[in-house]
Amino acid sequence: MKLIDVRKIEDCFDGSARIEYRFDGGITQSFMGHLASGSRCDFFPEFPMPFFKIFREDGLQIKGIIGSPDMEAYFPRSWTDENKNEFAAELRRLLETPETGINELVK
Amino acid sequence: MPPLVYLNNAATSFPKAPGLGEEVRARIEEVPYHAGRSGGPAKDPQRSCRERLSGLLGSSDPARLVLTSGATESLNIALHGLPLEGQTVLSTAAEHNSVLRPLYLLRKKKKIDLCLVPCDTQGRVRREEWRRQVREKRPALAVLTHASNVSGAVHPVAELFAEVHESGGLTLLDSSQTAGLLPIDANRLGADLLACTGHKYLLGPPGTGGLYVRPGIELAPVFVGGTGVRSDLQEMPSEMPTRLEPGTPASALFAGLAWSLEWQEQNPFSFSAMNDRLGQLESGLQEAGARVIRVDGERTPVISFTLPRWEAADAGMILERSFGVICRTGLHCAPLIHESLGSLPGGTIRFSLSRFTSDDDIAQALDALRCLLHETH
Repeated sequence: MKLIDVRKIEDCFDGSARIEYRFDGGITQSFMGHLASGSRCDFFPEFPMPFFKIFREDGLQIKGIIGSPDMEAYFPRSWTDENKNEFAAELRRLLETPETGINELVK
Repeated sequence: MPPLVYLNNAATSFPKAPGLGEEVRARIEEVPYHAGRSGGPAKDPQRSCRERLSGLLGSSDPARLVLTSGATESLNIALHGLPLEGQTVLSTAAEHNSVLRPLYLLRKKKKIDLCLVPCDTQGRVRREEWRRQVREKRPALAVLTHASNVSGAVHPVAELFAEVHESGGLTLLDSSQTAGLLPIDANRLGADLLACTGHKYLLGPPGTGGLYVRPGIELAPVFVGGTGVRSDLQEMPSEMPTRLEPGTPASALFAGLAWSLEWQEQNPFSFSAMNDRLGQLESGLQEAGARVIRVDGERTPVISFTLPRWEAADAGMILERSFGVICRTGLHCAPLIHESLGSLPGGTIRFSLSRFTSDDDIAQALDALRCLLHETH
């Protein structure tokens, strides 16, 4: 799976920013697990397509739907563009690491 | 994945008028017509659109109807074209950013004093405060949305505008949420200027809209350029609507809007049936445990609510991606109204129906909501 697009979609009321990340395949539960490593993750597997929301200690929130090719991240207003670029790079590294087992597309 | 249910008609309608796509495509693929420039064999699409839209808004003179790209352009043409320098403009907390941002810009440039009247808990402007501000400030212009795009509450426009006229001001109505839904007569409502958009309840294509300008009101052109007539002049021609329509028009889109308007004339819908479905939806939401923003009296088929334990944006994502229910969440580009509605900071989830919304659509949306609310956090 590859990250194919990063798109700013909204400036929120509190000054935070909402960015969408699009992949060339559906997000897997394994990928979600890696993103959530060490963080709180609310996961709702009972929905027709499961929803997740990750709350990282650095204030970043990530949410998406398993099987959907995109996810959204909410960056606190204190995050700079450089911080956001670092997060995109983190995503690419995660996707390029074979042993994470996250490259299997959702069937 | 269940079938898609589209409940975001207050943003843009779907589906559009049957045959609209074919009409737009046919107009793009034929030899173009442009009055005053290259006639060609085709009929004049702007003329047909202008006549129908003008009639819909209660005007007998199509020349007073400026064709635009939508309500945002219409509102900007009006607000930047009126001689408001040093004057007070009155508006409300119910307005969309298409009204608020041009007004903020005029205020920032120190051209106007801006007075925004707060709303009640249903999203209507507070009548006594409106009256007080009209009497005290004697605004040169009052700008009002016909109906809130967040709560659906319809304003008593004729009464509110009558007070402005009594104090000597002009009036501008934003009918983005009502044109195609409610009967609109600019004269009866007391609207000196009236902005509308084609892509919502008029069932036309995005990129179309109009601005009605009452006879006797002159707007300075905001955009200037070629018109195909009086090319010898250094300024825009004085004739309406040419004066306010520079550049090559989006003929195929206006042909599409004319098509949609004609289809609506031939296929009137039942507002009461749509209201019945809105009632079913509202009851179902309340039974499921949603906090519904209650609206008494006249309203559009829009319903806003919040859910316990769920952020509006999260619920919207789940409804769309997991249950196939397309809706809108957040502030809906109307940031000020949420203080009155008690829906800050996350805004609301908004379902907006159209004439095409079915009972099955309502049932599927309510099933999804129940599933969401019965899920434990």
